[in-house]
Amino acid sequence: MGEDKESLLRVHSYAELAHQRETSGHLFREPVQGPDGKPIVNLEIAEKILDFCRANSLWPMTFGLACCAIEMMCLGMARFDMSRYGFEVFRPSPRQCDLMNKKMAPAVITLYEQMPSPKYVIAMGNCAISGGPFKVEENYNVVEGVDQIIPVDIYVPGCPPRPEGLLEGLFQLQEKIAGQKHPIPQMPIHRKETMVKNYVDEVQELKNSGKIA
Amino acid sequence: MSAKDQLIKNLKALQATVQEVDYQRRGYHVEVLLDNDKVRDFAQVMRRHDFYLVFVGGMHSAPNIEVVYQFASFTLPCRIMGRAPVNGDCAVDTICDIFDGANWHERETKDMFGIVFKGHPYLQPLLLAEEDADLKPLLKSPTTLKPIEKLRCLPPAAPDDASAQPAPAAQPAAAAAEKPVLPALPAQPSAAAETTQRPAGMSQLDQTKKEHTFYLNMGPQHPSTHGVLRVLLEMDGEHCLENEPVLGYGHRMQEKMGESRSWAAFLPNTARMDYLSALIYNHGYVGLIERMAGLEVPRRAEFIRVITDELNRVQSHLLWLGAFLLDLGAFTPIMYTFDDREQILDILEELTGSRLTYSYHRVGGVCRDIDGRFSDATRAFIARLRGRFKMYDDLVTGNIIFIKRVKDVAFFPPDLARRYGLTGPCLRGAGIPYDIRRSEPYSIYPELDFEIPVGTSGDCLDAYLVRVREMEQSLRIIEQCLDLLPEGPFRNKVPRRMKLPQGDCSFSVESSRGELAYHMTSDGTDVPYRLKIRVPSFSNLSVLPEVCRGMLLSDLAMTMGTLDLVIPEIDR
Repeated sequence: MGEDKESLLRVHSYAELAHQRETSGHLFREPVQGPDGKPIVNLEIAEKILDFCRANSLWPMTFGLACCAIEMMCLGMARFDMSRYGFEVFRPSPRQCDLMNKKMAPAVITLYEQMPSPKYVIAMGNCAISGGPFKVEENYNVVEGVDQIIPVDIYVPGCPPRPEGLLEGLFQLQEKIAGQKHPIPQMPIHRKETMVKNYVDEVQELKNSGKIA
Repeated sequence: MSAKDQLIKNLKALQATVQEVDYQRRGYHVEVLLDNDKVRDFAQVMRRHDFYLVFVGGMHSAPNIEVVYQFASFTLPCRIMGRAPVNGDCAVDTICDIFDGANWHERETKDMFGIVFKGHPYLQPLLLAEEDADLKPLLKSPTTLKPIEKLRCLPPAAPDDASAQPAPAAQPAAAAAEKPVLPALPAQPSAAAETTQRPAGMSQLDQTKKEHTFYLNMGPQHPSTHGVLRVLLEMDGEHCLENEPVLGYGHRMQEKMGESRSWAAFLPNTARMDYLSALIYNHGYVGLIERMAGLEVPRRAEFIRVITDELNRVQSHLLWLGAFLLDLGAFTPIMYTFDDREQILDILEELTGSRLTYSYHRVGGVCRDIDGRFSDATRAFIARLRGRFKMYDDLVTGNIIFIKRVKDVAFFPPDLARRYGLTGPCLRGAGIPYDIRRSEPYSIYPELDFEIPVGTSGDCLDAYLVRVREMEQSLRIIEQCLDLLPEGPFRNKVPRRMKLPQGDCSFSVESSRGELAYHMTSDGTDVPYRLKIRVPSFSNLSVLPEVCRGMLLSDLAMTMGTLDLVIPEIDR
């Protein structure tokens, strides 16, 4: 009877561990200790490798509601091309969202719960951070900030933020996960000659060089 | 007798007060004050005269709430405004069996004002959440409620003679003597009454139809809905027998905000409804305020407005082109269209300071003047995009797979458009050259030389072709405006706290998706008393249940792509 109880308890504690792993996204931090007091398996290195891989393959789950979604699309498309940093296809993990109202809130919670761990949330745009321009006295419908519903890791302000802003937010998330920004830089982003020119400047340059009238 | 006279005669036969008003001041041609029980007859007359429903709205004033109807016509340049008070039970007859598009408008009005539409098949919350069914957010508080006399337009300052004033006492008698010229349509309330008893919380779909049907939720988080739209589908295998869009996931109280701050403070909100044609929304709003206050705008400012509007339209259509083809499974075009789109965003960003949500048009002009850099870049861009059109044509329009995929799918015939209030490229694809820029010209559009592209059959391919050709026409307009651009001031000084004259006013513009109409009622202060915003996607989406009945699921996704939906614009 006592043994049964113990195994029942063990099942329970496994469930707890599984729950902890699902919510935090990490393996149990306390390593299992051998009889001599040393850990049997040292998971720290494995954890670091995992974090490194995670940081370089953030697959965001798109959850755009309004204007910010368009800027998010821009980030994925030709000029900004986020996939060069491993933020590949917009699919599962960290989450971007903008404004939310009462009708949407239950769906957001469901989506958050459905995401596999480790999961991170990026609140993109003023509406997602605080309600933005809709945080007004006569408010009857808008949830003032997504962090009232789900935990948020990174806030990217703007109305809407520029694609560069969201990119920086993703770098910040990398830093949070792996301890450094873009661990494998595909392209030095701050070098001026590699940056895409503003079209208006480009036309002026062409004009000054006499290539167009 | 002209069509308009005939119409007015028929309206007078309803024992209503029919009044022709000054279009330049009010934005509509005829105002009809109806009795509560004449609403259905009024809608019948409108239907028989081939009008389409612009919007149904409400207004809370003392002594009671008023229901407001606006109708316009694809052929006759005439805009009708009907008003009817609710009865003692806060109820009015539904018109959604005459104009199917009224279904959603009435549900929205029920949400906002609590008006009961008698005979409506499914009067459940549309934009608000279920638990907020009794919120009635747009009702005024006792402190802000104004009597109706304060909200009506004052007569012109110098009344000439008594004939200008309608004589309501004499008119009904005279009208009653005349026979109504149009036969009344058969009323069909029985089917509507039967369906009222469906369980709340589910849907209008008939749930006992077939054994092998199943229900599927598409959305609210689904990539091909282009936002947070949920479509409830009744499926039989791959075919969706019925579908019902569920709105309101992005409702942001835009109308409420428009009524609780001064007109100047609401301008940034207009850009956040349809962020893809934000400048056109700006234009509609400043146009409304200018029409209301009777302000003049410098000619240079009008040119700049049209240039930026059209750049915005091209940008929106480019995004649509990419996203539509992405919905069909073609990934390549969206990379190219976004590349082009970024150039427009660069040009507009340098001028306006933002990439997407502009507040560049101001009442009395525009915020900044354009310079040589702007026009150089715009001209270079026009030349560049014209070269790219050929590439798009080769890549997409000439592609046999694409044509097979979209041809003869989802027809939008003119009669359907009238019943639902469908406007924009989908309507023009059916061969009706209805474009607000031509039919009710605003700004400097009458002086410009451009065509309204139309299609023939009204299917998805025609809507695609119309949009592509519209981009070419927009480039033509921009080029002409740059050539004709006059010198002069770009903005007139307008006081920030300018009081708007009392009365109501309407202003319509052609956004990238169809007709955008603002209707504002003022009580003589600088805070609007009531602001109704009619957005094109709202009416355009309401055709979906009828058009897509029995269609394959993949075709339904494509039809939604064709309608070019912007969900936050629908939800407001």
